[in-house]
Amino acid sequence: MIKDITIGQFFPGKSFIHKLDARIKIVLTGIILVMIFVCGNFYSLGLMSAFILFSFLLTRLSLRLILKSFKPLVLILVITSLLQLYYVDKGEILFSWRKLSITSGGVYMMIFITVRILSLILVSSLLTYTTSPTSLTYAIESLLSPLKVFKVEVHTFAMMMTIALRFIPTLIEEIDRIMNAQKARGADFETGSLVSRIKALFPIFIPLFVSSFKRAFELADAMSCRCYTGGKGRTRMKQQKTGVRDLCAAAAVIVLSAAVIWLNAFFGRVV
Amino acid sequence: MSILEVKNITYVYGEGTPFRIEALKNISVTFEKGELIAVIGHTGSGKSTLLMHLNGLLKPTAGKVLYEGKDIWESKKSVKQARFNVGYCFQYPEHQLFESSVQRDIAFGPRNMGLSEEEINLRVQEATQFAGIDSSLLQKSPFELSGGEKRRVAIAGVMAMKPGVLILDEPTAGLDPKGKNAVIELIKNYNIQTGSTVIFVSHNMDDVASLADRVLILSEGQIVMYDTAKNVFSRGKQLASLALGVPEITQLFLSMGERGFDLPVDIFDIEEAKAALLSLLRRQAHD
Ligand SMILES: Nc1ncnc2c1ncn2[C@@H]1O[C@H](COP(=O)(O)OP(=O)(O)OP(=O)(O)O)[C@@H](O)[C@H]1O
Ligand SMILES: [Mg+2]
Repeated sequence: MIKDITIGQFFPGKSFIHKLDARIKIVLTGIILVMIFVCGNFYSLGLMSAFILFSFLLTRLSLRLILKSFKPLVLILVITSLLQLYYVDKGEILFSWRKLSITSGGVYMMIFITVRILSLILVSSLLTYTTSPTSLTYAIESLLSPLKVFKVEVHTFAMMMTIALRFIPTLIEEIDRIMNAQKARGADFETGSLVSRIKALFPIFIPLFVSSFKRAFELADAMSCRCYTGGKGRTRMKQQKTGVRDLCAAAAVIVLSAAVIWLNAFFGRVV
Repeated sequence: MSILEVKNITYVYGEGTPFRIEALKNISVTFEKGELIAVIGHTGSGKSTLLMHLNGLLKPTAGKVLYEGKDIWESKKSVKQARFNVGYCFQYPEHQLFESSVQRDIAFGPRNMGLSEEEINLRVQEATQFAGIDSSLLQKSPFELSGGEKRRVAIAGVMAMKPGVLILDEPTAGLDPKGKNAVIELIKNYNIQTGSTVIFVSHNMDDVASLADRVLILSEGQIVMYDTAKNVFSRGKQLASLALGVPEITQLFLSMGERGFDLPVDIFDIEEAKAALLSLLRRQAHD
């Protein structure tokens, strides 16, 4: 059960999107995220989600992954859309029951917000699905490098992130191991009230912390044994280069943004 | 009388993924009360997988595990009970120890059984003594111990539950000869003193020969032999074809047999070997 958790999963591939420079990809994703919020009517939002879907098709990843990325947030989606339905009081009344009334404005808002949230999720998973954790952290390091002027340890930060990402599966395995060891001697995670089941989880976390610290020290030793001294003078085996491809992608996003702003102005903002 | 019965179990790792492995293929076997059983087989043959089914750590993809005739997966309660009835020592003691001190780790099983504080202390004391753990270690963290000490603590933690069946997955791996002999003595004594069934995995045929009443051989997730130690080791050629060896003494007798000496091939005990060699010498002196 616990092994089904996937965080920021990467699916290797050779598509146009995969090959983009991770730095450009992060910046463009950021712009698109902002533009999703700028969208003020169904025309601009429609264009935006069409663009995101098209990019997803370009990656040639299985369409089932789209559903997979939505799954963890279904609850939030349902709650926000119901709230919209309840709070927005605009347009004609479609249905009413006691004090509750559903208006056409509310339905519009609900659809709008749902599409907006789905687009936000999809575009961010698009980034993690197509970018390996290493290039992701390298890109962050490189994007943050101007901060070095203020004596921020950008490299250390990026290295910390790489290590954290790398150890997520290891930690999950470790939880599995500890649960098995405790189950073998009669620990009970399955019966009893919800409270007692949650209580049974606590004894897992203490050994997990202990073993994580142990692992951290071992890793530090292993890194010093290979002469790791921090970011100074370190070079990369895989260099990222910005090329024509990245320029094309950037141009597409700029045109898209312009179109969104124009559509907003032309048809007026609904929200 | 049988205590544990495995009926047609199949186990598949990673069902529905490209990494699907059928680790056990329709296995049926019965373990008798009070016997000492060795499970052998080459790496990846499914030994650990089979043993983890016996106390319900793994749920069979198909088939049943019966403890004293009752299906252990009948209800959530019965699985929990199976974990107390069948004690399992992990292949790597590091995988088993998790508490902050040795004392607490050994007490973990008895505490889950709902015993009184007094009884728990008594069990911990008994188990530490039995496993030969120095009382100065009790307050240490289990992670600060040496490999051999960890192994003893892991075994003590399981023995403290006084299970009717004790399972040990490679209890002698990575120990020095002295530590190894100590663990073998420990297993033998537990079997004799409590009358419990003991099932253990080992890659060392001499350990198997000196301990086991019965030997179960697995290969590629299937049982190829389940017989008395004597019968199993008399089939040295077949063992070799399964990439398994025979005890050193048996090996010696087999090689002597090939060189033309008239000796039995099912000997793996030093006393029997002595008798056989003496009778051979006597016969030669006669001729
Ligand atoms: N957690 C797991 N996930 C997937 N496959 C596994 C897992 N554990 C074991 N296997 C596979 O199942 C098969 C049987 O493994 P098992 O651990 O039972 O072997 P074993 O006989 O105990 O070997 P060893 O002597 O090395 O301990 C192997 O092919 C192994 O690769
Ligand atoms: Mg094993």
